[in-house]
Amino acid sequence: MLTFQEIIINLQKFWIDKNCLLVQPYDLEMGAATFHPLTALKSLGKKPWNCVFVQPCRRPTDGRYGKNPNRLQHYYQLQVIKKPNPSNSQELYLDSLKAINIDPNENDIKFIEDDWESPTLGAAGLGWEVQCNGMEISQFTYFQQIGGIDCRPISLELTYGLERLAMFVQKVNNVFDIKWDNSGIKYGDIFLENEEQMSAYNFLHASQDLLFDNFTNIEKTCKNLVEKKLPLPAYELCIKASHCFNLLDSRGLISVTERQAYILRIRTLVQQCCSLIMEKNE
Amino acid sequence: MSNFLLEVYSEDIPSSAQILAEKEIYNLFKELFTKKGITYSSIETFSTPRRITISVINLSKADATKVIEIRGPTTSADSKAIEGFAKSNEIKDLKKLYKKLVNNKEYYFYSKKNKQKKIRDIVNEEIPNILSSIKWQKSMRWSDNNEKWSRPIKSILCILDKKRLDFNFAGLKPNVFTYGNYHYSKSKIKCLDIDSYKKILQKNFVTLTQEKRRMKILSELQKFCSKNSLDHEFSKIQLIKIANSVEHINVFFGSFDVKNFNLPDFIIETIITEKQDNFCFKKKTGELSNFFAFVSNKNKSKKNRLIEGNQNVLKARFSDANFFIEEDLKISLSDRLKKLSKMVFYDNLGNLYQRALRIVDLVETTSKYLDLNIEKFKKDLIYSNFDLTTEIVKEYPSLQGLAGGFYAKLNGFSDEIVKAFSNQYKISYVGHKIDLSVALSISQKVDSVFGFFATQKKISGSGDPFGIRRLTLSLIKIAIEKDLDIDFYLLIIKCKDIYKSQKISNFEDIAVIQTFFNKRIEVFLIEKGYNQEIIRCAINQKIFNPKLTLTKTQNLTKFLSSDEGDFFLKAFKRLNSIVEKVEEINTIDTSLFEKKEESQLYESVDYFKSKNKSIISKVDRDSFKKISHNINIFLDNVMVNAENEKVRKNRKSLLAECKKALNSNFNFSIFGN
Repeated sequence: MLTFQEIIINLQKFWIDKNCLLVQPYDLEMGAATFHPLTALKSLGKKPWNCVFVQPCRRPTDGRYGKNPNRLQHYYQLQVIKKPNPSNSQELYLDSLKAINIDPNENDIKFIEDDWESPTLGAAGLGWEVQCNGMEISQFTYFQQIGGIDCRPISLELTYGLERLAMFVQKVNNVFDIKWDNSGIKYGDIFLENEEQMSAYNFLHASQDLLFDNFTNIEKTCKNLVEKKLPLPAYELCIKASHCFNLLDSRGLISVTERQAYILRIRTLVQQCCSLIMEKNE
Repeated sequence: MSNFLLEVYSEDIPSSAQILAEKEIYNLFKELFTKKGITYSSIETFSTPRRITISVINLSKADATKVIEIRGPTTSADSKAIEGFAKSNEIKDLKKLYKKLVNNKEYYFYSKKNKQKKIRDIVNEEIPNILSSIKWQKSMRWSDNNEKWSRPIKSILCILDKKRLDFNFAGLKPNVFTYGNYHYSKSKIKCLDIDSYKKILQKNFVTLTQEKRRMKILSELQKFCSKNSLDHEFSKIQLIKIANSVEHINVFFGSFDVKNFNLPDFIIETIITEKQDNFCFKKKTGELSNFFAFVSNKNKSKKNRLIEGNQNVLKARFSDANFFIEEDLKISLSDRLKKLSKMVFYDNLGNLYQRALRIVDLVETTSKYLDLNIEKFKKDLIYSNFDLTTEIVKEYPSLQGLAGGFYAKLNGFSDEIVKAFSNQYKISYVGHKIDLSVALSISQKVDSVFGFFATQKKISGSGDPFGIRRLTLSLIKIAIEKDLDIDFYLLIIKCKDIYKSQKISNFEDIAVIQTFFNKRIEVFLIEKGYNQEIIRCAINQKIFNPKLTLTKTQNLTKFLSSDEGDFFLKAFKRLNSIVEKVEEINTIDTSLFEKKEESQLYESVDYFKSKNKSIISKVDRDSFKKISHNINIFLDNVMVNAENEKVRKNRKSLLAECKKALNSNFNFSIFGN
């Protein structure tokens, strides 16, 4: 039976063999691997780009104090970007499952319509949620737009929910029972306490004043960087703003009306960064 | 005679796109053949998640000798226009142009023989246009292509008379190969005509027709039901969606255990059918059974693994739902109201707590029209939409209402309230008595419709992103099914006043909502088979009472199909042709009457008014008969354009008054002259 770390290694190896560059996670909190500049920003412009990486993701509102068998506020996504998307994208994906002992001939792999949208990134794509015997194991997306700019050529984004995959491969029903390695260390040994404490932070203790101040300062600095035509650090601040917003949300400090306004503020900044990157590319 | 086959083989296309593409491709090819004068004996279309196919049998070539006449500029046009026309039609000798009158204007014309193109050339040229013209609801680009499709195209098979066609679409050239079900075979298979195409796909685990896939699922489900004494009606929409998710049908049956979960049936059902696209079954008693079914391309040898996997997913989802309910129950009802006040209704239209307050008020007004006493429920109605703040509704939005009823019951609310909260979003209330549920349903729908218009958003196209058409249709259905004599106009006015008192909106343009309402009832009655002009004649712009409009339409349909009705309509049209030209209407002066027909018409107008005082559904045949007769004898015997100006004006005014009286309840002007 494959361990959690073997699943990561095998998928990375598979995609390295398919000409993907193995890159590393971004050192900022983000809600999804799509925010990684090597995904979002590299999908703009004409230059080809192929990479694979594991990104820790944080969704403060999904925290359940470690009590839910499959919801976490911190989890891992393995992401693959292929730009332009190859003509055998689906076949490649199905082959990648074999690398982690999921045989598409033996299991029922279904591609269920799921059109992806990130209002904060001003991004959208068409694709599927991939199910294996009824369980969602990946997201398969053809990016159409990032930062409000049409992607040409189109990139393929594959996102493997590593915990879900591991639960399936290892036949466990609780995420904390996932075997991390062969010495007996489980996912829960590493992360259960983190989930408990971080849920308390996300829901109860994250400082209201600090978060509001942070958001305002980040936005201000970001605008300044855009004016100075420095889209990369400016985009980094968009990622920070987005996480700050997510925390405000999990603390229940943002009403629905304000929510839209905050999303729009981040999106506007992301769009400006993306436009600058396109200008520089030309 | 030629035979044609086109298959666009792609990655997995959603069900709705398959249905749309099949229709579009059929229409676009039909249009092309008509335009190009190509005849055929039959067209067939097919779709699966991986392919959209069209085959056309016995195509025959366009007539070579057909001469077409092309209209050019008018003969008074300047020389540039004429030269331009000649150039674009490759006319070298201007003497070949000839002149012809069209609607009293003289134009240049040019006749040319229709250059006969071979069918092969026509389809080669036109297929890329056809494939680009499909109006997808959602489509995408892939790699570095400009063309769009629902999902990336992998291969195009296109054959005319067993020979490959030659065009370019999305970077692909057509070939003579198809593919079987990719779960069973990956290799390409040569195919040169529709018969072998069908046979090859059948052999390679592809059922080409949606109908066949759907019927196969249904028959397997029904067999299972009979064997296990289960009773369930399967939704056709769900059957189609699932039939369109696979190319080959195998139905698998599993069971689940909910002992450890405290979940009501409606949540289990939603998880199984909505989240997992599986089927669930009901026992003969109406309770949910613990069986479920799902469909897969895979063959039965993989049965155990597939069933076990799907069972595990359901278990995880049940556990999730259980968690949501436990979390939801931790929050008190008063905190729920606070949460509502943080949730926006529509943009700039206040919050959901304000909406809850409006609903309480509106239910009170609605109940008066329904003759219901709701006094004892008033204090609980404020919670009608509190479920929108719950985790279970956030996760399963379709459960709004049902979840409200469920939590209301757990909080000890009365049965009437529980039922009303649960049923408020229903579209139809057949078999349901008129009670608080109906009052609440009407109130929240009226509030949503008014709210939408108050945002000054416009409804355009065929979509219904805010569900306003559906809500209005529901109001119409409720009124008609429940035989309610209710004027929604009054509720809209009430709604407007509450919005104003809440200082949320000062929207006043009720006419826009009336026009919208009336259009909806028109569409509803047309679908029921009534004549559009009669419906329009029966609709009163200031009233929105669907039941009244329906009865008026029914009575008017009956009347106008009778001899009396025919006699009346002819008389009205005569009258209308004259009154249309009347510019000034004065008070009628009976002392100016010179002929007995004037007095007779005057009296019959009075009589008509007395019989048709208010908006009624009845067609008072006697008054219609009299007035028709008197209109006719007036127009036969009285010179409207009398020499004496006063007499002339008085006569015109009498006719105008007559028309006004006739149009007071119905709007006969719809029928024109």
